[in-house]
Amino acid sequence: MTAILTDRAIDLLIGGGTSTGSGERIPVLDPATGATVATVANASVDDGLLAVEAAAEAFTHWRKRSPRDRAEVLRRCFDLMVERSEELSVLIATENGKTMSDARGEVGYAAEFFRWYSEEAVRGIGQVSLSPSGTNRIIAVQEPIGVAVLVTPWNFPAAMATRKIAPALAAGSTVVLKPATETPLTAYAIADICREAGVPDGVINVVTTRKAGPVVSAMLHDPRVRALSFTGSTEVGVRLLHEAADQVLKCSMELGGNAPFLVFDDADVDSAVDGLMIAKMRNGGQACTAANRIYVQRGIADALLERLTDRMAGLKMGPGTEEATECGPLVNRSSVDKVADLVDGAVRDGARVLTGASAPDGPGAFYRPTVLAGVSAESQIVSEEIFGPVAAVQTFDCEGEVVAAANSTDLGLSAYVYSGDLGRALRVAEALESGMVAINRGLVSDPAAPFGGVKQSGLGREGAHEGMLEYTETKYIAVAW
Amino acid sequence: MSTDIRVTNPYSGDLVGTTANMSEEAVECVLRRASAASRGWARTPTHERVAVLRRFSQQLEPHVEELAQLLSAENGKRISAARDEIRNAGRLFDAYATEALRIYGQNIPGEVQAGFENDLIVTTHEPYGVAVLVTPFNFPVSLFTHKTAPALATGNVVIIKPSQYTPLATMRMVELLHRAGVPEDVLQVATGEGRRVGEQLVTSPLVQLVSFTGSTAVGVNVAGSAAKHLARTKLELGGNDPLLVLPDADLDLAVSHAVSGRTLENGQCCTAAKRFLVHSDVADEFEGRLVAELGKLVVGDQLDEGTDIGPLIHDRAAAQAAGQVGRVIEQGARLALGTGRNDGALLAPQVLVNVTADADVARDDEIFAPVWPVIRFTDDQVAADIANSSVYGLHASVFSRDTGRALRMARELEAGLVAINGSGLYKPAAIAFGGYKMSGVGREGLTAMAQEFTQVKTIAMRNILQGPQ
Repeated sequence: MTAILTDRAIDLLIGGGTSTGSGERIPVLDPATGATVATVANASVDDGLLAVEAAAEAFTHWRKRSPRDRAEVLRRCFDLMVERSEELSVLIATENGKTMSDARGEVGYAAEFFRWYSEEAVRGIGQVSLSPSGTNRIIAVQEPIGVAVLVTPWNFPAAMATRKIAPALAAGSTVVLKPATETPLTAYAIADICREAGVPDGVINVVTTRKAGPVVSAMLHDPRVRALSFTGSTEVGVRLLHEAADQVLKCSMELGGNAPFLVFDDADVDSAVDGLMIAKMRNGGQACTAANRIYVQRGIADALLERLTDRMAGLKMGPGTEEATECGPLVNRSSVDKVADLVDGAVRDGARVLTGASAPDGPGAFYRPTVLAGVSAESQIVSEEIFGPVAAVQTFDCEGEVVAAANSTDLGLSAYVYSGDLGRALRVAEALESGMVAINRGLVSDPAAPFGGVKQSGLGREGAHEGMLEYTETKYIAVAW
Repeated sequence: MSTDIRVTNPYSGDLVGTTANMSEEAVECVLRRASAASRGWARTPTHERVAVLRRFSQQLEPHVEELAQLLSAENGKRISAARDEIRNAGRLFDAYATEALRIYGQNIPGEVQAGFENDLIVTTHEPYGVAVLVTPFNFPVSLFTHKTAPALATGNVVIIKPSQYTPLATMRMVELLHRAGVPEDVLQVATGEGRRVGEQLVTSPLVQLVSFTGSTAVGVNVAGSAAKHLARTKLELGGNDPLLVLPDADLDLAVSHAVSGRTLENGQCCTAAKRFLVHSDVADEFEGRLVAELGKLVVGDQLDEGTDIGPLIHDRAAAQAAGQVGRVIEQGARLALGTGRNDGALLAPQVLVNVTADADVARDDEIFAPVWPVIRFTDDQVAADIANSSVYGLHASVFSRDTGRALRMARELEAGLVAINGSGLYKPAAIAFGGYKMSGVGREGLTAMAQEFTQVKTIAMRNILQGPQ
């Protein structure tokens, strides 16, 4: 076990050294008990700029390492992360509250980004072509962009970090990572694994801070920073885009979703419910890809609701770190309050409660798995990300109607379609305004696939080959010979 | 009917091992087993095939010395070169396996043509089926790898037919691949006389792909035979690669590459520099330095660590090369180094000067031995014309300090690869390796894998995008 996993007071990681920052400590809580499990340092604006300086210094060396060399370092990151998966899973379950099976799933998924980008590192292949005028050749090459600021959320503390770190390092760029204060321990643990795998000092820097606004803003205005990758809410994303515009930074934004989950009459009800349980309940519903608006065609609505209610009502609640737990706590108490408000509003608008719809007594940020039927299209729960274990179900009659309803949002991250007619499912997939569509599956995430949204759900893509291009610039050279 | 084939060390003549000279029935049995295995292997998920090949790659290290000894003994190459070839093969299996994970289909837009607006058109890459891979004696393990690894990774079933002179290291590699988890029927070896066994394999209707590396004369026959059932045919054939030294070249660099680009594998490489086109202004100095450098090389037993140049593949090859040298002299050239005579399978370096542009060696007479024919020129375009006067077009190289001039020359040369300020004996795994003209058909290498070892299937879902209203 690495030291950092048991260390209860963790300092900033800047240029390979540690720093206590402002001196003040940020407590990290176990959301199942409310107890403090560790503290992390609180970075000031100056600490953020020191991290940028360290990353800029490291960039001069890291960019010159051969792609094969970088690939081998990333491959070792993958191997080590797999080796440490159990300790990392416990850490994630502790600070985030998700169940051990979700945590293990996340670590496996997160590690795969290192493997994928170890393989992609050698594929920064440019192009040569003849200008249509015939006067010269057009050479296009990929170069690393430089220092990237990475801002990650608490819901997938490992995967959101590796999904940015791995492609950035593969491309030859260096990073300053600012993880969420709710879940900073996983970020520091991953940085530690990377260092052990051979990532040089300064290539990955980690700063935690209570003053996220001023610290990130200062970094985005430092001329040595050239890129921003953010995963989080659309509201914060828009603010960061404004900040990043001052220096014309390249931005990769993975923002909010409001995923529609469409089940047609000809779908297999059992597999639709299986998929829905994954799409809804992974991470207790706290995922940007979570099924938020569930549309079921009238002919199978009763059958589906009955099975869904049985499954949701049967989930065992408890601390994420207990093996038997199927539904852990939310990340904090204010999340519980927000979910409760959305459910109460939906019920006032006429929704029927089939199970749940309340928070249990006692400690911990728990909310009962909930199924609502007959949800009004006008309810706030339909237009906002729920980010909790609540299935809000509406019924529909025809394909055109449900496609229009699904598209009636400013967001467009992921969508799910269940139908026994693959032809219909593909047709609907093409019609949905969404960056990702899962057909007869409850999960879209895959390091080999381009993850990202349309409309206000984001800019750019993570994963796949495209993910590495977010950390490169294309240089075009015109030459006659 | 057939007796075993003896494999001997070309330097000492000692017996290294024997292989079966397979009968017609035995070859037919190999073909049937391969054909029966092809569907199952094609349907095995790529990641599982890749895992098996990577496992082989990871398990190779303890066997490197044993394989290198076998390879050096049967082929005559230096022991250090044999070790490099084996280790590199291990890395290549890993690289091809990894690359196979990146073979993607496409989504073709139907809407660009009236009448197809509502069609959803996708493509997938599928293996051909049974691939017959024929390898020569010069790089038995390397060429086995450049064919077998991509063929297996993409889901083809392989029958490997190694050279009858150098089958042993290949057969051992196959055993190790089986041990790593490649099913026995998915990878089989056919041994025996090339003409008979090879002919039976490439004319079989059970075979869908033939990949051959060898001489152009045999390659033309293979293509003709394979055409009987239209098996896809990929050919890596001979070359008579030019190395051009322009008057502003760095002569130290040019001489050092003229030596290294011709001595690897004792000159028996398809991509060795074989014609040395040197500008008259620097020719005297080039020839002088070349003779001086070559005079330092040690010729002898390849298993001896100090040897620079070992034997050719057999006595006949050395005698043939000596005969070719004699012909260049008859056509007006003069020996500046060497005697023009072989000693058994050994041929010491031979430098031929005053070679004219109309000599056979300046065009199509490929010499597979450590021989340096130097042809002088005074004009870049004339040099390009001489270089292009060959039926071959494998690799070429240009030495000049003026990159623009070198690039313009690169544009003129009819060759699959032009190296600038380095010899054409150049083969990073990532390039698409292959020749122009009679040097071959198709390309090998990581970036060419999908194109060479898979066929595209288009699946059109008619009117699927037109929904009920």
